[in-house]
Amino acid sequence: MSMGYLECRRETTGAPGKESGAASAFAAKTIYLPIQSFDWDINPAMLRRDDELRGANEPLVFTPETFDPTWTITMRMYPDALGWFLNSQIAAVSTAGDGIITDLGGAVIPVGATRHRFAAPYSVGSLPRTLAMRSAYTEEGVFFEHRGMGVESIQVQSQDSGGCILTIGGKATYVARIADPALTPAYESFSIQPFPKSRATLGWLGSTAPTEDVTIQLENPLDYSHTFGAASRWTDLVEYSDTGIPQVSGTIQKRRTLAADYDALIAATRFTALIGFISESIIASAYPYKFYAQGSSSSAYSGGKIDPQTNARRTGGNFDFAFTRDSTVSSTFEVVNATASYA
Amino acid sequence: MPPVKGAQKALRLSLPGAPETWHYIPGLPGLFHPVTPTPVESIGLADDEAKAFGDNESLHVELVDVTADEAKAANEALAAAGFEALSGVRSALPDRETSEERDRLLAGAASAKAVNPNQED
Repeated sequence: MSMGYLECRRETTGAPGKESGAASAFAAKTIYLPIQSFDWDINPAMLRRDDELRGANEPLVFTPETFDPTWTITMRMYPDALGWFLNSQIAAVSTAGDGIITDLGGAVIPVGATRHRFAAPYSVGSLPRTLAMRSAYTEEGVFFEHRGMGVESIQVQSQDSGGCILTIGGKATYVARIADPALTPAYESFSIQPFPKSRATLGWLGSTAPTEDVTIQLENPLDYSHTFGAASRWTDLVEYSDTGIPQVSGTIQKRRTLAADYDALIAATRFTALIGFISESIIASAYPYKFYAQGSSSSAYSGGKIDPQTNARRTGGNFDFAFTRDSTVSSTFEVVNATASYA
Repeated sequence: MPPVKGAQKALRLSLPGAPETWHYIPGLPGLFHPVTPTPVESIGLADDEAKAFGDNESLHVELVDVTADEAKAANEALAAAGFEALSGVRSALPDRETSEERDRLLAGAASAKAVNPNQED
């Protein structure tokens, strides 16, 4: 068992941390993620000069030139972490339950629970929100600080067993090896369970075939640059990309092929989507933790195919979908949990 | 602040922005909540041990005084939380195939058992 940990905070200054210094301010909330995996790579690029005319027929000495860090976290879909990562895209609109307000499924939210809504578009201005993390490899006595971490992808994936999975990935400006920060993590008790597939709900295209699994992905491409005069081998500027817009899409895996799904694909038929994940853990007054992904009435299949025809009674298929905008916002995410605020 | 009459020492979770749920801290006995303090007596700590934990800046707990009534209410909530946490571990264990994950779950169970020492495994 490892006593390592991953401490996470959100940088709040609009100027991400970089090699020349950590962000000067952080959001109040600190979270220790119960990760399954934190995979990061500084992507070193070495300055090689083998193409120079030097009369040497062997590799020449090289030196470090640039570092472009990337990272991916894989963990079970816990309600606090899910809200925290969505809040890394755009500020949550948080409303305390009062026995009057409702969730996207129409249920009344009691006192003690808080509703956090995140609605498209998931970018405001040109500068994205960024995170900072400290990863401790405690047994080995090695510690790292990661700065300017932008979130480019948040993916939610259902599966039969092991809980639904949350995968978050993006880029960072800088990674430093640091002295032991001497932190002790604190985690929610095991009574707070990850969202299971067994209690998921689906509002979808009429007459759609039975669904096996769903993957939902919020993509928000970012540009990381090495600016002139920054005096650093690391990236130092984080911006929303001009080559892609934030969008919510996904894949739905069908158990059987029904005409309705195929017809909807070739006609780009619009429908309203509401994918719900309901926890077995209770927040208050018998109200469980919930997560909803809602697509506007202009949600549609954007691709996909029927599985190969074989000597089988059933032929399933995988259909890609996208939440798009017409007269209303393309998509809304909602997390109802016991966290009062992500500010 | 004047001393609370009949006060008992308790530890409250001070992790900034923590959800209002029970938490465990690896290495510490018991469960901790950002609103409901954990009476130190109920997790088998002496007051000076609890003060050392509260003074340790690397631990996300702070030492506070609670009245006898608050301690009683906290103990009831704590017992229920410990039971739920152990139930959570019990339901999670069969799914975990790696020994590392099982060890991590069992460490959490040890924290929860500190508030329910008589509960069977």
